[in-house]
Amino acid sequence: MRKYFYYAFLALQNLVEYRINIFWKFSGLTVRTLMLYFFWVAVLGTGFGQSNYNATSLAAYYIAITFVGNFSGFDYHNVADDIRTGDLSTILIRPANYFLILFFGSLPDRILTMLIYLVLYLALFGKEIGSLSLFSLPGIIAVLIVSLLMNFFVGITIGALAFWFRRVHGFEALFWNLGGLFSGQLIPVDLLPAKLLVIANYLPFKYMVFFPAQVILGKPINNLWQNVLIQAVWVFVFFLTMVIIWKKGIFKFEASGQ
Amino acid sequence: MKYLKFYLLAFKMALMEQMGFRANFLMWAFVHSLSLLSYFFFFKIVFSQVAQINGWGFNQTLLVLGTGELITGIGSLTFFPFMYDFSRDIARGTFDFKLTKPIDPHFHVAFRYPDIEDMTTIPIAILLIWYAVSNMQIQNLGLNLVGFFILVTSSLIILFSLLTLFESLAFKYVRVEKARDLFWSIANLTRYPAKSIHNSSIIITVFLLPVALISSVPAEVLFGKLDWPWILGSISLAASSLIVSRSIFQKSLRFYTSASS
Repeated sequence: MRKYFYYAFLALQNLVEYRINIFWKFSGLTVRTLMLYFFWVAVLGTGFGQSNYNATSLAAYYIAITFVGNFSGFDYHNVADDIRTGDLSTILIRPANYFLILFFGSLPDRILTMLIYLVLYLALFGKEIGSLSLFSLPGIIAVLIVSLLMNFFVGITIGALAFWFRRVHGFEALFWNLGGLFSGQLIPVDLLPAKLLVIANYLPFKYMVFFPAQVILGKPINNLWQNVLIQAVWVFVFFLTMVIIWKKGIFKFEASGQ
Repeated sequence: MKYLKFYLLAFKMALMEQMGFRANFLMWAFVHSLSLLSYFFFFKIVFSQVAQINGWGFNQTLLVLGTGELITGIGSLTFFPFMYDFSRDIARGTFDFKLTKPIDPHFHVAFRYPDIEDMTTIPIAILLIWYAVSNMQIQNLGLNLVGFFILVTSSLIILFSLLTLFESLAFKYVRVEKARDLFWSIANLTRYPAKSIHNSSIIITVFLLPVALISSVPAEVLFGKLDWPWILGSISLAASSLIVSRSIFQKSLRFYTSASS
């Protein structure tokens, strides 16, 4: 297990060495979140959604949504680039599991994300933190871990499509643009029309982002642990999909040496 | 003329490569259509509850969405691939090969790899714009279209300048691939009607200004609203940002030291 912590340490060194990338990443997220927030404030100004949100609760919502999306998200580019460039061939012969290398390699970035959003949340909504029960902490950790696993398996599956396609960004865009409707990133799920709300319950997107964000915000959720169980089922489905895609891809993978 | 020939040759090569995988090409058309459809439904849901947002209705918003998508499609076909391999070329020293070619290196790195896969967004965007236009009663459509194309060109120049500024940093910081996150965020925001967001805060206004200039202003011109300060602002920003970014790229070249063995 120690070797994987070395991969995490290497990733941390990389993060520090190219620290300007941290600025770019969070600038991109901030720009996107601010735009959606302002758009929704303009929508609230028309009267729609005022029973669910005001400008402050909407800001908290978008911070939570962006945090969950970013903390649990996995950059499929790493996998796709390794396949496309042929670097995967040298990684596969190492005495280490490729998925664990990726998982541990992504940890420093996730921890940094958590710290940045924690500071931001405390600075903006520190007074309301008292309303969060200490007993909600295990729930928050549980849903975040499960959400992280879901996103990790989906990310690898999308990246693994590079075994067949030169570029795979369209698949990610497709997954998250469709998912944006049901994950709460484009529109808060509780503002969806009743019919779409039913559809959202049968799709994974809500459990990947919206549900963990609601738990973090301390919103009352009926059947919390039942929702965690549904998350776990989706984790299993995504894991199975990833394994099947990866095995089929590896079978046809070819790379020439340098 | 030499540059046009170069781009057309690059386009031809990319198209030939892509046509080797026609099923792949059709699949991208399907993927991009579905992606755009999700935005369509998003706005449909919002506008099923409200008639207008600060004077912007559903069809006007669809025009902005179509314009944003069109700009993304044309950008992908021309200079967006600038962001994919440039910093890697700098890191590995393969930028040397670009410098030795008898062509401007800025043009070479920006227009070398037309992204044919994303070209499929162009007809889809045109369909969406046509759908929105056909649902609105627009006068002087021909004249508006001329203004629309001028402003779309202006928006593309603004985006090209922005990307040039981001990529110029690679000469100093080497790895700036995350800059594409910020660039894509800005490019994706052009799908929203930024001019419908009214805010008294100067910081927010400054933040929304470029986004509004890129897609909302051309869409406004298409449906016949001539907001001259915005139109002139868009053209002025395009001209000034191109001059500034080009100059910064040229100056940043001095930081480049070959890394090849």
